[in-house]
Amino acid sequence: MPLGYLLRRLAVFLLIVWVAATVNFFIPRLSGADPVRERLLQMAAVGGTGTGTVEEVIKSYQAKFGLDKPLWQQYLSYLWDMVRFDFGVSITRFPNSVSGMILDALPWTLVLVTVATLMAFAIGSLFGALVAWPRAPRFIHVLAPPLLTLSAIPYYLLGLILVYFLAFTWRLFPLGGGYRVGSEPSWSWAFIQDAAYHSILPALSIILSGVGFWALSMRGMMITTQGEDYVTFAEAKGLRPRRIFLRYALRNAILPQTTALALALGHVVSGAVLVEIVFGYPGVGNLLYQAIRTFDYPIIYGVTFMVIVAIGLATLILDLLLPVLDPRITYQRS
Amino acid sequence: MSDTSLRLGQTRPEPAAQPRDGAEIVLDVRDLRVSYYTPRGPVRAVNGVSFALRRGEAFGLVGESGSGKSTIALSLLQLIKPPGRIEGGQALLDGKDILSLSEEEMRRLRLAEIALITQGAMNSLNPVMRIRDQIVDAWKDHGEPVNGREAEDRIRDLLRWVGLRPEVARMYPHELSGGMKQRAVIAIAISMRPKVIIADEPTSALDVVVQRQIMQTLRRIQRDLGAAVILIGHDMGLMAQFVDRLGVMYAGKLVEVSPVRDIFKDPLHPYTQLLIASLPSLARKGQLQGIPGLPPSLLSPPPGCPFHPRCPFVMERCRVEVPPLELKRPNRLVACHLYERDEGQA
Amino acid sequence: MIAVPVSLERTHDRIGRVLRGLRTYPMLTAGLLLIVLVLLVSLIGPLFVPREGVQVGSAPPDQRPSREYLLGTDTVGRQILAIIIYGTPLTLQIGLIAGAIGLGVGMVFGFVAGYYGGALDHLFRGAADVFLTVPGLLILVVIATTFKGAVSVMTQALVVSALAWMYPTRTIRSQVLSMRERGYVQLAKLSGMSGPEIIVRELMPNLLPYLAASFVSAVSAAILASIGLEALGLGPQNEPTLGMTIYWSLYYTSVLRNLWWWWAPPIVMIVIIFVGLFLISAGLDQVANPRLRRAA
Repeated sequence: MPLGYLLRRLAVFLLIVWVAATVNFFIPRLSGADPVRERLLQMAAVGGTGTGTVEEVIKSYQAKFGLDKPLWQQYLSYLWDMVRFDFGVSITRFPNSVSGMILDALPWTLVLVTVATLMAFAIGSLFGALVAWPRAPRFIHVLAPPLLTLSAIPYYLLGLILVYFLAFTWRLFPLGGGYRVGSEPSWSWAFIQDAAYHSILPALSIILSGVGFWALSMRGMMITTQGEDYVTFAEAKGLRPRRIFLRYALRNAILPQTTALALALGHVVSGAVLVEIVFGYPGVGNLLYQAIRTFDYPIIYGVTFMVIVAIGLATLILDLLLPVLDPRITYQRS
Repeated sequence: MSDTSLRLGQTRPEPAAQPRDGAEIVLDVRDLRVSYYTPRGPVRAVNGVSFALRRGEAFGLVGESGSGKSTIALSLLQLIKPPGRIEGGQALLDGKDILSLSEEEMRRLRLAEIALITQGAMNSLNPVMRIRDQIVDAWKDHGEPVNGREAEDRIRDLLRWVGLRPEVARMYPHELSGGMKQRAVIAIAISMRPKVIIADEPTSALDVVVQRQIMQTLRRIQRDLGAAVILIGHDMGLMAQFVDRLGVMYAGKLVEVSPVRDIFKDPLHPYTQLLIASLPSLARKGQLQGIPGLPPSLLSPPPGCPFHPRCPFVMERCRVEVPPLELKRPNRLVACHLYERDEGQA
Repeated sequence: MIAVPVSLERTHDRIGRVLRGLRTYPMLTAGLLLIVLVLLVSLIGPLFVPREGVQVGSAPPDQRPSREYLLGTDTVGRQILAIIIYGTPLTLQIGLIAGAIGLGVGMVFGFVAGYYGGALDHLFRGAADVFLTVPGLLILVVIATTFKGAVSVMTQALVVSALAWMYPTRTIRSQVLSMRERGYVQLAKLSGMSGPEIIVRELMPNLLPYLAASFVSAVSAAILASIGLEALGLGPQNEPTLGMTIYWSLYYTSVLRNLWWWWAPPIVMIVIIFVGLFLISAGLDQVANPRLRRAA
């Protein structure tokens, strides 16, 4: 693929990351005072944190951010920190570094979200394509309304319902957490199995809710595609219906659908964060939730930034994938 | 059925722009009726159309937008989708009524015996498949799988026949110009040597120079194949140059069918006369003449002859009685009360 | 013929047309019915249920649904029925305000980007894409945690509206792009109409179904975002909005304690609202794009 396209996409990625970092920097300061500083002062008044004394925290903070320096200098040093993924230290769990905590939690979230989203996308798109195809088997149309209704329920609320029925009432699944209480994370097969078992319900909430959304979107794309001249011509060629469905209709409808995936990532991740809260899943979502409750700002900003970077990366990957799917793209300005 | 061995590039020794009267009929359309069911009621897009297509003949179908021409094309391949429906009639391809076939039976006939070049061929090619794959997949689905060397040879010959370089086979549609895409579509349409080719406005979106080239290619191919062609369009000038017989459509009905020279020299139906008079001509300078009035609503067509509200020669009878399409002169079918039936012809 | 007063006849026609319209678009009708249902609960409910029920300690805690407390009470003594009746309109309010702002901004951006093109187009469209990529909830979290404690329903609506303008911008822009080259727009340009005039008088009326659909999806997105924020505990602290109710129910581990009447009613209400909005938006899509209608 041409260098120009690659560079353009990279530039967009960096732009997003920069906007995220900047927003993360300026919004807190819009309130007039530096929230972290406020919080620290607050804690000092109350008498300290759980671990480490307030003086230590303030000292490390001073050293880091040099609160007396002018704003633009703070901004620059902040940007420099972001580039190195240095988010400072947690206020409530001093002196744990924020990036360390995020690193522990990130794999859980990544695996959950990636697997669940891809499954929802694949199943949903196929289902939506079949719904739009006049020659699809009957049961597809029967399944459609309930699945579409499910898509209107936010992920985490669906998660709540699932937890109540499948974990609490009928003890088919664990009530929450990433793994059995008391066991230590490791790479052993037993642990992985346990972790997988614990992630079924969270994944299911994302999948069930997402399938309806993707199905609907794919259905719309398929309807448009089916009206295209090349599908009519394909029928006039006397091609078998399955070939027309797969290689003429679906193959073309999947293109705008993939673009839609790239755009929906932000929404997907937001929902996943909330799902983690419902299930007490040890990912970044839960980390964020705890941080919100204790106003542990460094963690909040760190998580926000990391998630934006992750989404930007995923969008970049999808954008780079598009020319592979669509031979027209390499030759046009997108 | 189609030959399995494509004898490409050989010109058939069949002559004649003008089909002999005795030439056998390859497609006999009888009283075709197609309606579209809109929320406001049924629209009779094709309202009892009959014509006979002879082997090797080039038959033109001309009319304004909405006169039903494209609908006829689609119905002959059973490609009418809801809310449209074929209400009645027959289309006998070599004696077999193709309108009564099941979907699978019809599918096997498409391309193999009767091929369609759709309107707007610019978009008729799948944007994500290479040209060669779009040629080959039809062969596969018609039970003629070809691989390897043989496939390459056949494709190359096919492309050459329509005037395309062999490199085109590996290209994607967006890499081709409009004219090249049109040729590729024609190549696909003839790839199984059908008996009938329906070309629906094959050159509308192209500029005049390319138009002419494409039409010439089409005519050459038609002669080589010995296939009958139904050419649908609204460009009378194009029709004059390329068809043997011309059918004029108005409001879902055929109003005149005659050899093309006769139509231009001596148009019989008032609508045809106005159509020809409205053609811009270098010889006759002056005001452009249009046809007064508006096309009729196909939702609630006027009683009697559909043209009577705009006809300069309208009689009382026209408002009440629908004129049938009949032989009024030798070789000339007209649907108009102005003319008496030619009793001398069968 | 009996002479019927002209005004009465016209109303009759209009009603008939509306009814026929509704029958042609079953999804739209179903969606509207659901939303009307929700509105009824919000409007009529207060006539039967006193507002004191939403306050902490107004009733004994952890009561199951009974004749006295139709939907039971929560751990701090609030009555769930009252919460639903007084909290739903709050959620709707937030959605409507944020949706309206989102649509307004989306219209300005979308029309300007689509009509004028060029640098403005790149700017607005780029902004929309960037903001769409960013996980809105997290930005909202950053904003909300900054201004903690000062969150009222109005503030919540304003905050949430920051995320409601992207889809309307994109939709309107793409529609304007396709309409820009149409005949009547060229005519208007030639006849000397100014840009803004053309936008308002020629383009907007033709985009009504799309504008309506964009509004509905903006409202839907706004409600989704606000419930998400509230579920994290970042909503109006003292108002019984649906999202906050869910937050409190999670805070007090209502699932494990089997206090299902605490979290189930808000969810049911939320589901009804979303399904209703979804059906309306699908119905409006059908109005705008006839191909999506099922064949007669």
